[in-house]
Amino acid sequence: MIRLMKSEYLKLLYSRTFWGLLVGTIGLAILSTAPLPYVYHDLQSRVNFGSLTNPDLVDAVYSRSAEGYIFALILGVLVMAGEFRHSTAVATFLSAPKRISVLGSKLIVAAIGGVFYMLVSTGFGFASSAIALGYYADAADPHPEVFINTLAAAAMAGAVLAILGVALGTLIRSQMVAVVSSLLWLFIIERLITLFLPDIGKYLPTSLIAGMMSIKVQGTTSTGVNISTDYLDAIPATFILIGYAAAFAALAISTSLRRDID
Amino acid sequence: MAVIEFRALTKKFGQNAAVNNLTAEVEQGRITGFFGPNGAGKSTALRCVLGLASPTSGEALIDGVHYREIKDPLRKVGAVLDSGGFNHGMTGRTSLKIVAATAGIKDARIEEVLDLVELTQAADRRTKGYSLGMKQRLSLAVALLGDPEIFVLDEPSNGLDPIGIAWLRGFLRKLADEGRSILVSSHQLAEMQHTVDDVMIINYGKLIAEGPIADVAKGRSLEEAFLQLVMPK
Ligand SMILES: Nc1ncnc2c1ncn2[C@@H]1O[C@H](COP(=O)(O)OP(=O)(O)OP(=O)(O)O)[C@@H](O)[C@H]1O
Ligand SMILES: [Mg+2]
Repeated sequence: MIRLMKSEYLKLLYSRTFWGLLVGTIGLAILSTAPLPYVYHDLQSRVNFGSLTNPDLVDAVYSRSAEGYIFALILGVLVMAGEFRHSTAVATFLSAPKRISVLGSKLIVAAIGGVFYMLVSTGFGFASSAIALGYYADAADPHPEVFINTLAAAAMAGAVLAILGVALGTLIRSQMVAVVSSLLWLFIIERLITLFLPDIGKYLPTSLIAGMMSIKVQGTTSTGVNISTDYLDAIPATFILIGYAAAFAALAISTSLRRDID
Repeated sequence: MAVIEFRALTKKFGQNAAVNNLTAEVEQGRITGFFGPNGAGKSTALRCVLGLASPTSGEALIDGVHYREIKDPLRKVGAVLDSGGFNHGMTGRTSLKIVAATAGIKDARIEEVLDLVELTQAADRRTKGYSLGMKQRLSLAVALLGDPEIFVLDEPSNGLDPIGIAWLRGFLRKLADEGRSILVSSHQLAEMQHTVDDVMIINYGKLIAEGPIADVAKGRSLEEAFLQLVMPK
């Protein structure tokens, strides 16, 4: 298993897609944070929204740094589906014919990769938040715990979503279909369900992800803006998400992984 | 002693039996040629041997066990398949490194196999730019990585130039002389006539001839024997 994990690690290290997705994650973290001080400032001048002198609002900017988690999901999908796309699955399963060990090492390595994406991109998000907030002289300082809380949420989201992605990529062997359908599901179908059937909606992945992101490892301060009560708490949300991943992985093992490798 | 055994192996795709009740053995230290027309079921049978396809019934064994039960498969069996591929964005050397890692094979061995298949010069180019023959050499390099005692090769000469084919012939001979066993499929009968010790011929998934080449050819060339067996008048 250690050897298999090393092999999986090398596959990521040497694949250009891995680094491309990292750039995407960083880009999303920057885009999610940099415009926010301006938006908040602008809102404040037009409606009574609260101002950047409120540290809670500044926290809200920093906490958006962990926004790139969708790329951890895509990474997970590629880790398995990519093997079928490049037909490297043959070499992989020849060197490690026990398919469940291959899946196990991929789950672990993808989770580590997902955490890496999220920690790096969140770091960039913090930097871009700080730079953007720097344009507003009256902006408050954030609460110090926002950094550790956001990093914890980011790492958690990276690991869980990468695991979910591997399970999905095993189930749906086509990389394109797996990525496109999970994006469609997350960003369109689920949002509609959540809109019309909120009681079901809060148990669906997007809401669970939102719930998970509100994890607090230090302090209990709220970020001040609309952490909706529609979301479950961080801990139950995380466990349900892992439950989804386990269910997909079990389904994948009993169907997809049994099938012949071409 | 049999190193590879097909025991009533049947593999169906829907109603169509690609391999139909195949029983045959590959002997140790010999080169066994696996022949049959297009679609006869050669690749399917070999994929069953390698645990990539699950038999519908019967089994295929290596040294008495299923491939999936072999502890360190790369050190036991080297395989080249027609369907295997490489990540086009990676170099040949990286592709080897990734496979080597799964068996804890040292970097020095990667250089050795690159040298053996004469790919050292192209090793740092992306496989996207490889010619058919270069990809085939890289597949052979993967098969050689673990220095295995058994080889399962599906059309390994596919895409090789005449120099490569002659090299492969000598190379397989050398491996067999060292006591290794080789099961190799091919359509190049004239070429294989001088390479193989034993033959297995299948048609429509069924075994139609098996044994030492002299017994099957009975004084004819391998090609003549094949044509008469596959298309009897
Ligand atoms: N994955 C698959 N799904 C459905 N049918 C298949 C599959 N793989 C092989 N077949 C069928 O099984 C039969 C045997 O194919 P196979 O590839 O084993 O033949 P082969 O002897 O290797 O042929 P060739 O000399 O052309 O390589 C063919 O009829 C083929 O269409
Ligand atoms: Mg074939």
